[in-house]
Amino acid sequence: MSSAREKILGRIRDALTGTGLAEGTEPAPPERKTAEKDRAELLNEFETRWTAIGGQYHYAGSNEALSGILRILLSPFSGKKVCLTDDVRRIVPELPGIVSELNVIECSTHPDSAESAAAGITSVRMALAYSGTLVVTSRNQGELSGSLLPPVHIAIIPSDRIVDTVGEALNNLHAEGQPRGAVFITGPSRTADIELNLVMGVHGPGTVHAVVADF
Amino acid sequence: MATRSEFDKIVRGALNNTFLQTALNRATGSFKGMRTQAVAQFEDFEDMRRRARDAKNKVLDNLEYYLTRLEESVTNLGGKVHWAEDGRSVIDYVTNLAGEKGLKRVVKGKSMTSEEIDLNPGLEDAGLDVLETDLGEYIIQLVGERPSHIVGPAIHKTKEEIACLLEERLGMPYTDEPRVMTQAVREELRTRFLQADMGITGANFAVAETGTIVLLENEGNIRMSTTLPKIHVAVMGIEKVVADLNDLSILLRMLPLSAVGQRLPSYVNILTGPGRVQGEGPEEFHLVILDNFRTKVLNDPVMRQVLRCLRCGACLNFCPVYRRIGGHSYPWVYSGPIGVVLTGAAQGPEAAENIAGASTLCKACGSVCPVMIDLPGLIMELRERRAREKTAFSLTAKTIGRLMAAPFGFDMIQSCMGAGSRIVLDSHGKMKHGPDTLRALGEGRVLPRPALEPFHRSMFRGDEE
Repeated sequence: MSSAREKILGRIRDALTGTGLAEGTEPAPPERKTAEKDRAELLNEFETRWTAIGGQYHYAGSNEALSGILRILLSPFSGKKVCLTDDVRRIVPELPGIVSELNVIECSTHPDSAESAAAGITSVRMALAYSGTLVVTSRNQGELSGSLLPPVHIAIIPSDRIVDTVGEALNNLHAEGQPRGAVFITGPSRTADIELNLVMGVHGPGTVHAVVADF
Repeated sequence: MATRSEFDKIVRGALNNTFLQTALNRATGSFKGMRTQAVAQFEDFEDMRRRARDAKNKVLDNLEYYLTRLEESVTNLGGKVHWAEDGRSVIDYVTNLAGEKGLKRVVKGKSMTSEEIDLNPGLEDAGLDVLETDLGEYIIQLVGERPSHIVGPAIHKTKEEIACLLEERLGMPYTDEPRVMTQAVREELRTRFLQADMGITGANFAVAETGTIVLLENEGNIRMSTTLPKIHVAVMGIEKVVADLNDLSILLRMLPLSAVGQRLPSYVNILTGPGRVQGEGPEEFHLVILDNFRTKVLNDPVMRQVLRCLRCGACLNFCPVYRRIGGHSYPWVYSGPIGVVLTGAAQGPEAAENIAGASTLCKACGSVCPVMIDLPGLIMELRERRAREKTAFSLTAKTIGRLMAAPFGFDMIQSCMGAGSRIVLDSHGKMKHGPDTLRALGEGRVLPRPALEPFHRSMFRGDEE
């Protein structure tokens, strides 16, 4: 096995003695710093991008508004199973109350049970204005399965977690010690494999609600 | 390898296939349009292309360093690295791994590298149950075909064909409604994901600094394949390594923008080592680093730059030849302009002769490549190399070459052209006689008529007078 390694590395070494690819090419100018955006601008851009790619957007300017939105979003799931992550329970302490009040059945985010849930409710580690993207990670237990397996995903986004660029998002993840799994979610699961007809919800959720909590 | 007449037959078949023509036009037209629209929003897109090019050049110029760095990072995370010289080595590695653990059920994410090495048939021969999970790849696998586009593997299939296929294989009632068909495949594959023992994917990027593997997708099947099974195997070509997160940031944006004009696809999987908690994530992570033809291409200073390719498919969508003949007319799994160059660079100019000859040299491919590969220049290079190979053995070419090199021979051939053209051409410069191949070339063209007496002869005569 190590011999394949040595052979490949040896061939690379042989190939590259002499000149490389970058030789003689004028290097590109460094990336322009984008102007610092305030929270309102980031929110605005996130909303524009997120809705453009088929995501559902909801804005809650107060705790009461958030509860109201969640009541509306959860009411179709009365009598059905919904999975919640611990982190979203922590961020929205009212959530379990709303769930039981609407007669929604809470279940675990373990894949075996999230698989049969009608909706998954999670928080997100970050949201990304550049592309209208949610960032979920393995750091919060159940966030990967809860945002993947049920046909509907409801994501709660504290507005101070919205960042501007892909670079910022990647660096933030790295600064926290690179989680095992992180997924950038940009809208619903989609395919155009059958004669280019756009269909949502192939393997992941066909409906994704982004609820921005800005208070 | 297809002979010229076989190639012509394949191409004629594609051109006469009216559905294929509609499908190609629809798909490439749409991808093209979306890219153009998205790219127009970036004032500095040309600078972004340069930065993406530089990021790839940096690792290719120092490939040994970045690959060993990647190996170290992955190993430190608890992952295993396997170096594979060819496809056989990948198949054996995965087969042994499955054998050791007594596993059988494999779910796969779409990967051109696995197509290149015929991974699926190899694993199936070894008794594994391999399931493609991208909808397009799933359809292609059911009919035993090759993908016809890097991004849209099944664009050549009609929905009626797919409907019949699903009716037969899934036992579902016939419907050609894409939404219903997709839902049926979702349900079928969901069970298979939950039962799978191993997920096999490619890798769009592998970050040397952190050992992170990055996979882009729109359906969620790669999320499934890398979250649910206990083992994840990622197979990457040696050229997929990226130095750090900073370089990843530019390349990650360029790929979906160039492919279909998305700022980001539905899902970007950013996977860093193994770790399973409550049923989430793989217990084991294996990274297979594949050479196959790649060090050979690296050893060719002119062709080397094709290793920058991100497999976005932009050059296919913008190519007037690909848009008419489709992916199955190309000699290898890689199609479009990048396919021509990869085939020629990996297998020699002869393998790409017909398809390189079919290029219109419009240069559209070069202008959209996110990493600035000089595709038109390299296609020309392949043509030249092939021409040189052929003339090296051709007696006619050698004789003409010798003759032309001598003053009297040069003079004689020029005189012949003046006289010959008067036989072959009519007074308007249209070709009226001569062999069919020549006539075909002259069709629709007005050709100049060389003077009866070569210029240099009259010039010298003038001097003497």
